Amino acid sequence: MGKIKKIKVRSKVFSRDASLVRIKTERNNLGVIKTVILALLIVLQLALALYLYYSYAYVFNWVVIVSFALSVITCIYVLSTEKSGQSKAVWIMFILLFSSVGFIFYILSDERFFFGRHKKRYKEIFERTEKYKAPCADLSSRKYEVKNDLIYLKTVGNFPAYNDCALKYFPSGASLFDDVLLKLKSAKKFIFMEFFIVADGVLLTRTLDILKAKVAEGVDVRLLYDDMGSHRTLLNKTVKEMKEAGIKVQSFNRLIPRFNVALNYRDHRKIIVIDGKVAYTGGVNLADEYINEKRMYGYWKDIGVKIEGSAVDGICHIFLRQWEFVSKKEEDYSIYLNNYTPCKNNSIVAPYADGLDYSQPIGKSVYINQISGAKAKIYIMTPYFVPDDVIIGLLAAKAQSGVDVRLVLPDVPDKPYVYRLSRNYAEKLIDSGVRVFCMKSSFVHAKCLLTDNCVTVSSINVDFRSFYQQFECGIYTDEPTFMKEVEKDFVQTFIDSEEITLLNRKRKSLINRILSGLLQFFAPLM
Amino acid sequence: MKDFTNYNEYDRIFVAINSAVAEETLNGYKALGWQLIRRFPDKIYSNIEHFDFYRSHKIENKDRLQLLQVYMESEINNLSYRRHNRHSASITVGILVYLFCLMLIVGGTLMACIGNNLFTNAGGYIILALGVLGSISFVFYLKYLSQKETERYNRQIEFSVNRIRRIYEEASNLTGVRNG
Repeated sequence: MGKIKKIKVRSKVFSRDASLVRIKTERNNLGVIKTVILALLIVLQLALALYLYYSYAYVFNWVVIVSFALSVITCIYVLSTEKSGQSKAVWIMFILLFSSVGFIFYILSDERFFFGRHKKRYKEIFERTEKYKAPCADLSSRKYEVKNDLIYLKTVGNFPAYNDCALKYFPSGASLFDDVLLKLKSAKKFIFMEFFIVADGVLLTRTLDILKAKVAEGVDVRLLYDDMGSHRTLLNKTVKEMKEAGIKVQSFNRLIPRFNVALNYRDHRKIIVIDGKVAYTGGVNLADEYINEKRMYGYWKDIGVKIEGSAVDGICHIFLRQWEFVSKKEEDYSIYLNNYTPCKNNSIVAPYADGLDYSQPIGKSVYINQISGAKAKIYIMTPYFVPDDVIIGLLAAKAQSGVDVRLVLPDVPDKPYVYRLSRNYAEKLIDSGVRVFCMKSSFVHAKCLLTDNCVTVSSINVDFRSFYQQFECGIYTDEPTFMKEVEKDFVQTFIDSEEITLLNRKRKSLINRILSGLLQFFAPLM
Repeated sequence: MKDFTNYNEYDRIFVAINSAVAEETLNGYKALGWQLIRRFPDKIYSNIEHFDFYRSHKIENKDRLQLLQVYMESEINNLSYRRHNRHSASITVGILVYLFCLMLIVGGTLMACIGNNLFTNAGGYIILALGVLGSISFVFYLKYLSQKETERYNRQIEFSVNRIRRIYEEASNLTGVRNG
């Protein structure tokens, strides 16, 4: 129940807790202990390495001179990279401030150092599995902006656009998982699931009951989860139970108590594929708070999409590549593809992915293209709003050009420092005419960008982590009925939100402004 | 006999509620479609009761009901937080001002007693007088501040109570459950 102060009055004990109503939520303290131990071990390793370095430098003075020279060279190198201006500025300042070791940190943070061989493996997988991709649908009848967006996806990631698909929008995690559980019961060939967070709880229990029954029927059931996302919420006992039941379970990028910047690269995707006939994606993970059966941060607002038709193959392909990377086993993808039932629909659906397996930040570029192409409206839902200058500038320019730009953020934070940063960025945009809404008593976990031309529903937050450090996925579509459903949900969310205006925007204290400035400065490194 | 442990059929919720608002809150949960399985007092705290509710997993307008439930809980808790903090400003200001006045009184007294010339003696008496006058006159300001706080608190309470009423109304319209 949390900390309750008590005061004794004669023989009665009264609770002094100010909360009159408190939902009982089980907390997994073991997860917190594991995280703390892991963090301590990594900090110890870093401290030991630094101590050894400084001991050496103390004895040999030339080490300091050489280190400074290497830091300057590294700064020149940073200037030549393709990082954003903000990232470059932060890194250069960091390297020069810690000139004796700054360059070491930069080199260690470069993905080529800790992730280089993994990128090579991804490249091999991509080359081998490109042949399974379907040809792109005809884009000639598309709107100019949509056509350009789809050509971009085809060019950078070879993500084809599909027609003959049906989409269904779910404005909550509860409604999505009710549909998922129903569909799982009718699975006959295979079930693929990929989540950032898999958590012990009633939703996992419901799902596992069905998955175990399906395994017994001979269905190929695979579950891929991110080790960092799930390490506090998924017990080893449950993983063992799943494996014993015959479910193929893999964890992505295992958390090890060794300093390794690649630990920062996480699988943030949310994918469910059933028999190659139906797929789901969106912002929802396999945990009780996503269906509001566990209270963590007020009401949990999330969304998802069900895809039927040829685009299911696109989602399945994304899953299979990641599975192959993690399991290190080559497979024939053809048995999992082309199982869909075509739907009569002229609209386009393009599933796409992002991550370190691609050379560009595709998720960010898709958002930028969408925003650039908008003429009437841009509605964004995101839990974290830590964009770079490009997106900030675009949104401001669009708002100033008369486009209706609205941003929905959570009212209840899950990470106070990111929340502070998000509010900071959002409130600055108010001056440019962007309307900012905070959904009351809610944590908005949905990631959605709707314009007059198209909509994306994905796992991609509007922040540096999603753009540069995480594996993500989503769908891009111009399907009118689907877009209307999304817009209806946005309108209802605006009604349930409080708008932050120039009048009610709280004036920050000096300490708050200093803290916000510091957080903003280090945002590219987060 | 309903099997409430069947997690595919029923949702469960366990809530700890302060006895002062137990009945009204119970009605609120009922309006949201929850039904009571059992209620029992806390083993340690005499002003806390525990409630175990169930609800059919598949109900109409579930998303809206879940949101209304959060609104209801946070608004009820806001009532208590506001009551706890309604005089926080006047208490803080009062403590700070009276500490300052006490400092003036003590300082002035010391100056008046220890001072060895007319100026320090007179200065001491002036500071002492300022401290005493300040503490007497500040009583009226504190009273005014407290009154303003009470008025603001009453407005906030009225707003919260109305909001809770609207939540109950909307929940009742969605579930068809009406309480007395």
